Amino acid sequence: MNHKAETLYRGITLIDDDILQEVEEQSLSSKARSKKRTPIARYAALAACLVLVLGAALLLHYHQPGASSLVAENNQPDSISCYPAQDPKEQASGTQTEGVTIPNMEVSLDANASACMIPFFIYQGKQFIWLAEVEDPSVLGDHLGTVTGPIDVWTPAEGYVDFAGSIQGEIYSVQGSDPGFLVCLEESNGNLAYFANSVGITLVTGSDLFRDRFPVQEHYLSLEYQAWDDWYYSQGNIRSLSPSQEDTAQDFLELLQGGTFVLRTGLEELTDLIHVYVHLDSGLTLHFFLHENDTDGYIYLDNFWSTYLIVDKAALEDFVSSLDF
Amino acid sequence: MEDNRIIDLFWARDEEAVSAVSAKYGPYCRTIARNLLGNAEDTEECLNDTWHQAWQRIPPQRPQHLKPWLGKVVRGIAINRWNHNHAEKRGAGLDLLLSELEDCIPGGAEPEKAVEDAELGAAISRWLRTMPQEDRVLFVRRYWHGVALNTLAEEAGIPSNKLAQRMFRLRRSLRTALEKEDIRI
Repeated sequence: MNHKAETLYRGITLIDDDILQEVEEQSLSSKARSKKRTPIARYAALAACLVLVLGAALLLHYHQPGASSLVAENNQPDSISCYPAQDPKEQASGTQTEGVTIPNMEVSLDANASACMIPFFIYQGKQFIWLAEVEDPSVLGDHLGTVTGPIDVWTPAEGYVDFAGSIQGEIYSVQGSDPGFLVCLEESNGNLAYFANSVGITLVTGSDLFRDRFPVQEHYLSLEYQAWDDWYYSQGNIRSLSPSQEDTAQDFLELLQGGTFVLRTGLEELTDLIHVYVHLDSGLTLHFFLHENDTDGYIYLDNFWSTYLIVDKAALEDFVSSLDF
Repeated sequence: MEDNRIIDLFWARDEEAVSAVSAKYGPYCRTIARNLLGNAEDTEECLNDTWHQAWQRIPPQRPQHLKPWLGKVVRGIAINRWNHNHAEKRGAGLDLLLSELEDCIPGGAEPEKAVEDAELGAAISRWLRTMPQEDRVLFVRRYWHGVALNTLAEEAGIPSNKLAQRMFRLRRSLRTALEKEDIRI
């Protein structure tokens, strides 16, 4: 690496504090302006008084066997339910795992809390968190209720209060999906988004998510893919499978279901492969990040917290190599 | 907790300082580390090192602005970790970022004496102050916070290909500014 570029990096590190402060303030306001483009930022202002406190990934890490740090010793969470998977190497060898339980996020009324401004609401006592935008409104099913946002009657001591959240809108079931796991929310301006009860669930194998909750084979519509750099630079060159490649799509869906969930943290360095988009007939698109290391393949579902699927490396490479770039 | 209170805890050698600073600025520091290192394990180690350095450096230091001070510590640790890992091709975020920064390197002969980091930082700050606010934001978000281009395009509401061109022009502008100040790297 060019040491001159590194020198520049060190110089940039020492940019004056007042400039950094200005950028901090401006970038926050620009996020708020880009409502249409950034669903998470869209809700930041509303979420300011009722937030999910960030920390899932960190807390998951601290619960791992052998993980230790000064912070962990001083900041052990008591209220987080988390049962980490075994070491990924052991899992790759086929030993049993307890699975990964995605912890509930702490709900806070503290506007100054360091918070994860992710749109969410409480329904049936569960946290439903933003997953993806809805592309096809025809998937809406029954009306389930109205989320009224950070309502005055919210009382932290009572725990979760149905229909409170960081947003407002009408909740609908999604055709073909369990409303205990996946629902739609429609805002008054017509924006539609999927929300999933992804926290508090325990995932052991891929089937736990991609058969029981997202029945991908049953509702599969099409598959697209994108080179990693193309995605990184937002070039938009997303490719479709040809009709003769449907077996390839099925291979990928089987890979998903046959994988084993592990925590993102603690994994060895992963090499980026490609991005895959699986479109379901419910209008939901699942966006996957594909990686590998020396021994295994890994698949990450976008917006699905701190979990990776560990899959057979040779099968994953076969799938990637069968695609045309 | 107020920053001054956190710093007081550090000065009092109270270990609650580490809990407090990680609770308040953990997400902020993690985002920077993750943007630069692109690896969860390295990110967490970078954070732990950050709290450790804060513990070692405060006192004697008493940062006026704790948040950017911590961000600078994170960036320093991240580049060291990147160097440590580089032989194994780790840290894709910084790989990209540093390769982009090569566009900013002034031309001319090798310097007799390497520019000091602080001198370079001051020159870059001067250049930033001459730029429109939006360009300042874009530059700092990309090259200080390490935000990926596609994410930055989303934030700014600019098509990514246009953003890439704009970032290129910014880098060339910085290069010209450094050359005008006769700064050699």
